[in-house]
Amino acid sequence: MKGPTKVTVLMVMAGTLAAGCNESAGIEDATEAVDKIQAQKENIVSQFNDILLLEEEMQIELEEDLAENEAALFANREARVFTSLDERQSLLNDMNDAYLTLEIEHELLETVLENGGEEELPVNELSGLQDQAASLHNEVGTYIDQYQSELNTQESFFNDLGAEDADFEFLVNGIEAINDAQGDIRDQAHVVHEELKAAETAIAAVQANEQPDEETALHKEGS
Amino acid sequence: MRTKSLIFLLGGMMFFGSYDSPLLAEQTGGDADEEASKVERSEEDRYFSVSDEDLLTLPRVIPDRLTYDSGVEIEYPEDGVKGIFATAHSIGGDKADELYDLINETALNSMVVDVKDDDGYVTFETESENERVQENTYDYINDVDAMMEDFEDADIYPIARLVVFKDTVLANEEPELSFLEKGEVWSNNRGESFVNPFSKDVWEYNVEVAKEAAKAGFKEIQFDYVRFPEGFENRDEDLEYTEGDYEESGEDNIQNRVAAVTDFVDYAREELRPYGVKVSVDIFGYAATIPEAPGIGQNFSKISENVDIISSMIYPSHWGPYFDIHKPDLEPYNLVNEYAQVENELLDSLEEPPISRPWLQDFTASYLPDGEWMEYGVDEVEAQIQALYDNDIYEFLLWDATNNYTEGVNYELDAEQDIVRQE
Repeated sequence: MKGPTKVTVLMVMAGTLAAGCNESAGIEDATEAVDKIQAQKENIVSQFNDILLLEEEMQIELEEDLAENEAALFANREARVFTSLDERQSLLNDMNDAYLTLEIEHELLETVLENGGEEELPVNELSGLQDQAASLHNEVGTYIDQYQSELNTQESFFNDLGAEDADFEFLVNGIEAINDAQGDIRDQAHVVHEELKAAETAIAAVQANEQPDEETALHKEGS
Repeated sequence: MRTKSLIFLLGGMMFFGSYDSPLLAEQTGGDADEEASKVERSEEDRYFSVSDEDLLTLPRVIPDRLTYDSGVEIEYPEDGVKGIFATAHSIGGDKADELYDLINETALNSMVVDVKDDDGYVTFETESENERVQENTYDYINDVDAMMEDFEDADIYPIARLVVFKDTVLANEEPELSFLEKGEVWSNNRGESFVNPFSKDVWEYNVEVAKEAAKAGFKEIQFDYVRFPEGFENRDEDLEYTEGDYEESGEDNIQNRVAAVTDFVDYAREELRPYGVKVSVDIFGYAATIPEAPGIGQNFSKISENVDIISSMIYPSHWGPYFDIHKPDLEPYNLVNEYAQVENELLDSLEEPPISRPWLQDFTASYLPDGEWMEYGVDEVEAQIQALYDNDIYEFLLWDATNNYTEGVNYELDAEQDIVRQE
C-alpha cells in the first residue's frame, strides 16, 4: 500500500500540472485543489462507513463458516470471511488512492501559495487548509498502514483455522488478537475522524473568504 | 474570480447543508441538556460511528474439529433427547442391562448419569490432579470407558448429571466452603448440607469434575442443584458464610444470590467450551412462574440465557395448588400443559432461547396426603409427554430416583413433531 511507483507517477503528474500552470496559478488551481480535497474527504468517509459495515457482518460470517465444521473451507479460502477480507482490502485500496490524491492536492496548494498574488487569494485560509490536508493525509496513512497489517493478520488467522492442528485455544487466541489490534485501529479511526472535522472547518474558512459578487452571480445564474 | 467565488460558496452551502445545525445548544426548555448531549453525540459520529464492542466474540457453537476429542462418537439425537435418569450405582451395577434394554426397545435415546451425585461423590475414577476430586471420588462406575462403549454401541446420548451446590461430602470436609450454624456445618431436615455458591473454589471444583466428564466422553453436562438451599431467605442472616466478591456489590441478599447462581452457570459454560459439550441446567419448575426465586437464587431467564438446554423439574407432585389446579398430582396433563405455556412465552422473549427439556414424573408420590396423589403408570407418563408435544416441546427426561421406569409407555405418541435438529 502507498506504493512508491503509484506515488511517483502521481507526483510527476501533479508536478507537471503545477509547472504548466505557474503563470496562471491562483484561484483556479486553488479552487481545484479545494474541490479535490473535499472530494477525497467524502471518499474517505464513505470508505470508512463501508469498512465498518463489513466489520459488523464479520461475527455472523465467522459463526456460519465455523458451523460448517469444514477445515477445507478455511484452508481453501472459500469461507465467507475471506469475501469480507477481499472487500475490505478493496476499500482500503480506494482509501489509499484518496490518500495519494490528498498528497497531490497538498503539493498543488503549496505551489499556488508560492506563486499566487496575495490580493487574489485568501492566503491564510489556504495555508491553513494546506496544513490540514497534510495532517489528514498523515493520519489516514497511519490508519491504512494499521488496517493493512490487521487484514494480513486476519488473512493468516482465517487461513490457519483450516489447519489440521487448529484447536480451541488457537481460535480463542486468534479472536483475542484481532480484538486487541482493533483497539489501536479504532483509536486511529477516531483521530482520522477529528482530522476530517478539522478539514471541513478549514475548507469552510477558505470558502468564507471567497465572497461572491452578487451582481455577477445573479447574471451568471440568469444566463 | 467572482464567478468562481460564487461556485465556491454554493459548493460550501451544499456541502454543509447536510449537517446538523450547531444551534441546538441555544434551545430552551427542560430538554436542553438532552439536546445538547445529542449534539455532542452527533458531533462525535458526524462521519462514521466506531463501535467500542469487540469485533469478534467466541461463537456460541464451536465446531467439533476445534474442541476436545474424547474419542466417543455419539451424535445429538435427531428427534430430540428423550431420556431417563440413572444413578451411578444403577449404571455401574446390575441394573445397567435393564436400563439399556428400556432405551433400546423404545423411542428413548438418552441417559442422564450421575457423575457427581447427591452426596457429593464423583462417581468414576478420573485423571484429574485436583486433590478435592481425588479425595471425593467413589467409583460406583468402575469402568467408565466400557460404559461409554456401551453407549456408543447402542447410540445412547450420554448426559452427565452433576449435583453442584448440594454437597454434603465437601461441606463436611471443608466447612469454610459451606454454611455454618453456631460453628457447625448446617444441614437441612434431610441431613443434606450445601456448599456456598458464592465461593469460587466451589465453582472451580465442580467445573473440574465437569471437564473430567467431558473427557470421559459425555456429550452434555447437566448441572443440578445450581442453587442455594430451599428457604434460604429465612436463614440467610443467621448462617455464617462469606459472600466473597459479591459482598461489595451494593445489591441486596436476593440479588447477590441470583448473581452468584447465574454467574456460576456462565463461568461453567465458558470453561467447558473447549470441550465441545452442551451445557444444561435443572431448575425448579416454579422458577419460570416468578421473576426470581428469592431464597434459592434461581432466575429462569438469566440461567436460560447461559445454557444450551433448560430442564425444568415440573413433576406434578412437586407443585402446590397452582394454575388453578388444586391437586396437581392428580392432573398430570393439565399441570404440564399450563406450565409449558408459561415457559414457552418466557423462552420466546429471549434472544437466544435454549432448548426446553423438562423433567417429567415417572414415580408415585405416595408421601402426599391421601386423596392428593395417585399411582403413576403408563397413562400418567404419557399424559405429561402429550402435554409437552401439544405445546411443541419435543424433548423430555424421566425421573425416578430408584430408576424403576414404567414399562409399556409410548414415548412417541402420535404427535406431529416439528423438531429443530441440533447442529
